[in-house]
Formats: sequence, structure tokens, C-alpha cells
Amino acid sequence: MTEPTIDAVENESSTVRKHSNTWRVVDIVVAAIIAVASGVIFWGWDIVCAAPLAIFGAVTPGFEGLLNAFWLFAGPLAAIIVRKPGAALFAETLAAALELTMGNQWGVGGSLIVGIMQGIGAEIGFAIFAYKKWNMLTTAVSGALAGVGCGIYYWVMNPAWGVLRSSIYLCTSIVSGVVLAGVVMYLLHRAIAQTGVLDRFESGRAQTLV
Amino acid sequence: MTETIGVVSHTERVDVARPASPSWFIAKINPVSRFIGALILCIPMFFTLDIMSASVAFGLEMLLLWIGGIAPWTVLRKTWPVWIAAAGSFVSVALYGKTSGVVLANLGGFVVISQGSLYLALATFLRVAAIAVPGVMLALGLDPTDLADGLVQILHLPSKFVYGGLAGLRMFTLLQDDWRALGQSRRSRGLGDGNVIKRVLSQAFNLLVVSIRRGTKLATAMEARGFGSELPRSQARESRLHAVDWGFYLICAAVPAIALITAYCTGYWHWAFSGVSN
Repeated sequence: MTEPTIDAVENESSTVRKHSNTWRVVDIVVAAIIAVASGVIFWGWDIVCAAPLAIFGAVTPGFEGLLNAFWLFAGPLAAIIVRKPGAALFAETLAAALELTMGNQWGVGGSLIVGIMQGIGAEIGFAIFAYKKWNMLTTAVSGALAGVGCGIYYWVMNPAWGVLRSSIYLCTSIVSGVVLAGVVMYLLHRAIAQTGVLDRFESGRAQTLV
Repeated sequence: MTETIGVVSHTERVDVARPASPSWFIAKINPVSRFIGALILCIPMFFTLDIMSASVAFGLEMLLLWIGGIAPWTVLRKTWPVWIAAAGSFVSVALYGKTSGVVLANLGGFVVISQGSLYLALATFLRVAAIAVPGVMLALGLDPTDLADGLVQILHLPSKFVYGGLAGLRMFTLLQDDWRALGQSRRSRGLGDGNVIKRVLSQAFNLLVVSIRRGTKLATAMEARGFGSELPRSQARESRLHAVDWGFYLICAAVPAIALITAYCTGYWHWAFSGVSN
């Protein structure tokens, strides 16, 4: 056994530490806080969007899906920040539960169940990369699958929609998921990391060491 | 002289009851039951899309809420966004729904209003109301702490996640003060004026950063008090199911059962996904 040279030690410390999938208290609390902030935005969007969504949904064949991203971003954002399995599902569900308890037009079905489905979608986005890749691509995939979760729920809710209508809704929902819940959330996480508040997380450490 | 502080067992402690719902009946029910009950009420309704089941369910729900102490006009006032959503889905199904029967208007081949799509639109309208109204009314006034107690003690979810989530949720009450403080500090630096959208976005980012910073501090404080350890926790408040909860479950199961059986027997049943009648 040779002693590691100074160079080797330096290399070791400058690489990102090994990823751990165990949840710490700080992971839970911060994921919950992101969920709370998102839940408030979900709820605000419920109110802001009630009329535009109804008009969009009524007049265009499914383009209201483009407005969905504001209900999709909690999962990808929490996951990219705390980087633990289940973070996306946890945050999206909690955000939906908060949105529900603040009171909105959709009740348990359209807030909580759809939230869980979006959370599962967002979660799969990171799970298919075995929780090893945390970059813009995986966040975008996660956002897209959250959009799929939302699209499936609305297809179940509106069986009377024609196939074309459902497909357009699904596609627009995915597009909005990729753009806002994926790419924009990744950039937001980078911006948050730069402020230094994420120094207890892998996501923050990776930023300072690059 | 030493002062004596009397400590009562948590089973004898009397908590001041907080109003947890506008309805005296719903307020008596465990918060976990309120969630499960809402699911029992709405999930069976997904299977059929017809006027009969939706209107029977909706009528029963309004009647039960009235008996439970919320008058129908109060329900309508408190659920106003539901009606906007329902109206939106009415128009969307009428224009883009599956075409059948006499075609009433054909606007360019894609937008086809037919007798069939108008019928489905009405059914969707009623179904959105029947599914959403009880969900909204059951969630109204729900206390997150009571819900967390129930999730841990009744559903046995991992307490670390439930109470960690609750801790985050409790930060919610601070957001408003933070927002005001941030706004004032920005103004004092001459950053208050200018583009409103830009200001709101930038301030929202600040709010998120402040919240995360507080959250990491809170986590340290919680860990210092033994939170997150693997040892079993004792409970400060008890959450149990009572007879009233089981009665509530029965009601929640009966409403969709009556609605679906009525639809089936009167021949209105219409499978929601395959579109086959009866």
C-alpha cells in the first residue's frame, strides 16, 4: 500500500462525495418547505387560472394543457434539490394536499389524486436513471412524465373527450412539463445553489466545487 | 421553597376543540376519515358517465350536507370555483366530445356539436359537481396537525416524514410576514418600483431562499431534540377512530352505491371508458 500523494488527496476532495440515498431530517424539512411554497403557487394558479383554463379548454381542442406546468413543478424541483428517492412524490403530494386544504375548485380528486399521479410521474423520471443522474435532462424527463401523469388523470376524468382531444391535451401537458417543470426548475435550482443555502446538500456542494 | 408543577397523563388532558369544519358532523370526524371518505365518495363515480348517477349522487350529497349543518346556498357559495370548472368542461365536451346522434352544428369537421356530445357534456357537468363538491366541503377547515396525528397513529405512516412534512407546512404561516419584510427591505434600498412582474418574480425567489435557509436551521434544531432517531416516539395527542367515523364511512359508501344502482336499474349506465351503455 502506498500513501496517497497530495495530488490524489486533493483530487478526492474536489470530486463530489458519494451519493447517499438515505433521508436526513434536513432533506425532509427542505423538501416539505419547497412543497409548501409550491402548494401556495398551485393554489394561486387555481384561482388565476380558473377562468382562462375554462375558456382555453372550451374553445381550443386541448391547448389548456400548456397551462399545467404550474402544477407540475414541485416534484422535479424538490427532487433536484434534495436528491433522494421519493422526494418528487413526497413534495408533489404534500403540495397538492396543501392546495386542497386551502380550498380549490377540484376537491380531493382534482388536487390530491392528480397530485399523486404527477408525483409518481416526476419520480419515475429520476428512478429510470437509478437516482444517479441529476442534470437538466433528467429534470426535463421528470417534468415530462409529471405532465403524462396529469394527462392520464384528465383522460380518466373526461372519458367523453375524443381521442384527438385527449392526445392534444397529453402533448401540451408534456410540453409545458418539459419547459417549466424541467428546464426552468433546473435553472432555478442552479440559481438557488449559487446563493449558498444548499450547502448542506449534494446539489449545493456540486455547484461550489465545479 | 420548590415549586411543584403538576403533570397530567396525556389521556386525561383536555384539548380545547377548534372548529375543524363548518358542519358539526364533519367536525366530529377524524381528519384521516375525511380524506378516505372523500376517496370512497368519488372513486366509484369515475366508472360511469351518465346523467342519472351524477344527479342522484349530487342530490344526496347536498341533502346530507344540509342535514350536517351546511345549507345548500352556503355550499354553492363556498364551491363557486367548482362551477366555473364544471361549466368549462361542459363546453369542451359539447364541442370536442364523441359525436353521436343528430349533428346540430359542424364547424370545420373538428368541432362537431351533436345530440350525443351535448348529452355527454351535461353528464360531465353534473359528474364534475358530484365529485368535486363533497371533496371541497370535506377538506374545508381541516387542521394539518390533527391530520398528521391521524396519519401516524391510524395509518402508521413513517412519523419522520409526516412530522417533518408538518414542520414544513407550519412554516406556511410565516410566508406572509416574510413577504412583507422582503418587500419593505427592497423598498428601503430603492428596488420597490419598476416592473411589477419582475419585482414579484425576484421577490418570490428571495422568499424561497429565505424559506430554505430557515428550513435547514429548523432541521438542525429538530435533530438536536432527538427528532429523526430510530427509537419509538410517544404521542402528545391521541388520534383514534370512533363509532362516528364508521358511520361516516357507511354514508360515504352508500351515496355512490345508491347513485350507481339507480343508474344501472334505470338503464342510464354508460361505461365511462369503453362508452358501452349498460
